[in-house]
Amino acid sequence: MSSGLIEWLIFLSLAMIAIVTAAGMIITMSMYRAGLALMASFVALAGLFILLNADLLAAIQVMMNVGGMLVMVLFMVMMMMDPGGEMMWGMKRDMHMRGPGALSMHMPSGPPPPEEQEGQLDAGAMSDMDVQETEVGGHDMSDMEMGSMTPRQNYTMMVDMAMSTAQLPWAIVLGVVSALLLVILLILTPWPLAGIAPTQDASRVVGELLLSRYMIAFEGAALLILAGIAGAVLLAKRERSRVQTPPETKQRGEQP
Amino acid sequence: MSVFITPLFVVCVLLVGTYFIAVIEQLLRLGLRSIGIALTLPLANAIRLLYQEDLTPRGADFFLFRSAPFIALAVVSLVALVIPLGPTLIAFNPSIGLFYFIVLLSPFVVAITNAAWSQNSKEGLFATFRAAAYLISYEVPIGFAAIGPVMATQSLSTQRIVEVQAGLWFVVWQPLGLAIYLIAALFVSFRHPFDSALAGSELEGGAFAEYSGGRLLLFKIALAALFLLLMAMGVVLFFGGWQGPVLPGPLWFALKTFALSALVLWLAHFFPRLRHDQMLTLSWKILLPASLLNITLVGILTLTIPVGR
Repeated sequence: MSSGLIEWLIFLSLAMIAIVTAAGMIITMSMYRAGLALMASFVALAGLFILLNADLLAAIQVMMNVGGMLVMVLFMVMMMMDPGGEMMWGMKRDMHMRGPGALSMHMPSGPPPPEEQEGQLDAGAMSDMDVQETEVGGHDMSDMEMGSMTPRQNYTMMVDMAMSTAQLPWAIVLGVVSALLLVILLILTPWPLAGIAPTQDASRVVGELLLSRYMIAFEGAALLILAGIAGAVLLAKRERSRVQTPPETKQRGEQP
Repeated sequence: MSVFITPLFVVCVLLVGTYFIAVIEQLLRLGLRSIGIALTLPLANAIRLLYQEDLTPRGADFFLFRSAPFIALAVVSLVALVIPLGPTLIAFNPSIGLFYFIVLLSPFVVAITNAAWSQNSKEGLFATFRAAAYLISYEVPIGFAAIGPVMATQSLSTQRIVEVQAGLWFVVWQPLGLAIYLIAALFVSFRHPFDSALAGSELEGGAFAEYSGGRLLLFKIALAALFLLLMAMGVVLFFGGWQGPVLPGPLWFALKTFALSALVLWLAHFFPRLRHDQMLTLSWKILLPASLLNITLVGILTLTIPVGR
């Protein structure tokens, strides 16, 4: 096999990994898995950088994103309800929602059903409700424990639980159009640097540029980060001072 | 053909080195007299684990639980590529070799947090938090400790760092850097004083609580191999790598690496296990200022003493 063919194969597989894991990030219900899928997508992009002989960029990409995503996942596990997506999966299974993963929980289509008054649930309304329930998102609610819900309640519940907004079709159209525009730009643009050989010692060149031409931006970023650290420390200190520590004698008294 | 032979060679060297790390551990535990037992016990343990059933706990995140040991092994084998075993014996020699090494250590922590999270247990969740806290606390000290040799060499290439130390090892004038590096290396490889994410006595094994059989064996191999690689990189950075008289380069390198591993494992025996908040305090309040001091000292010394330039 020629090296060009191998390069093409590596490019295609890395690109596939990047796209599939990015899609997986959207589809999965587990926040932990979503964070990991995003991490895998970025690592695949780092592989593409290596393919372009930009190994410094690839290493920076891995360093920034793996650590950053892990901290993000950690915060989701600490702060959010149901980070593993177990509750959502249970609902999807019990309510027989169709569609891959989180995409099955979309916004109900059509206008919201009218608010019911008490005592007006006669036989006609009940049959109406059954029809509407099959219309709303196409969910079969017959064997659910919550089968006694009114259409209005069901509608508001689905709006609360939805993992996408009502603008989903428009977002898809916009995404496809912008992707097409990008591809057209890619083809039409003359790439002036395409014929030049890559630099051998990228770290040296980047370091010299950072400390000469882009020095003000570099030092400014350092100042911003320092201000961020100082602010975080200040906020954390203020929070701690408010918490009252229990007197030590009481703790000692409780010990057997 | 070298595309296929080089990875095979790297994995074989890594497995043999891992076996010797396990032997050193057993020797430290049993004493020098029972060297026969120490030589056979790691193999016996491996065979015992292979015979064990490979269980997946109920309610586990199936995909993450199954894939975690393989992520760990893949990371370890990728890291091993940039270690120079001899003057020409290096699998992958980029100009940013050392940076590549340090960057690829963080996906190993991801493998450990995946293993801990996916087993769907409270012990595992605690281990997740602890392992992620390690990632944040070791990255800065190990990077700053490794900057010392880079400043003296003016290159990030591992091979170049070894070549510059032909006259004088960096440990002679950067002992503080070596100490910080070794402590951070114990952090990274989840070794004894800093192993609270895998603690057997408080978390029932932590990240590995629910692993058994072949997958546990893979994890243990990956952990020992990671320790071996960190010690090898310590030899590259501070002890002149494969440089040495009479004997061939790779042999010198192996001798130095195993001697350093034995020394570090022996010294680690004298310390009790650190609590996670003590570890974070150690990392941020002691190691970070010390490494900044080290960088300042190395900078002054590099400008005043022209070593190997």
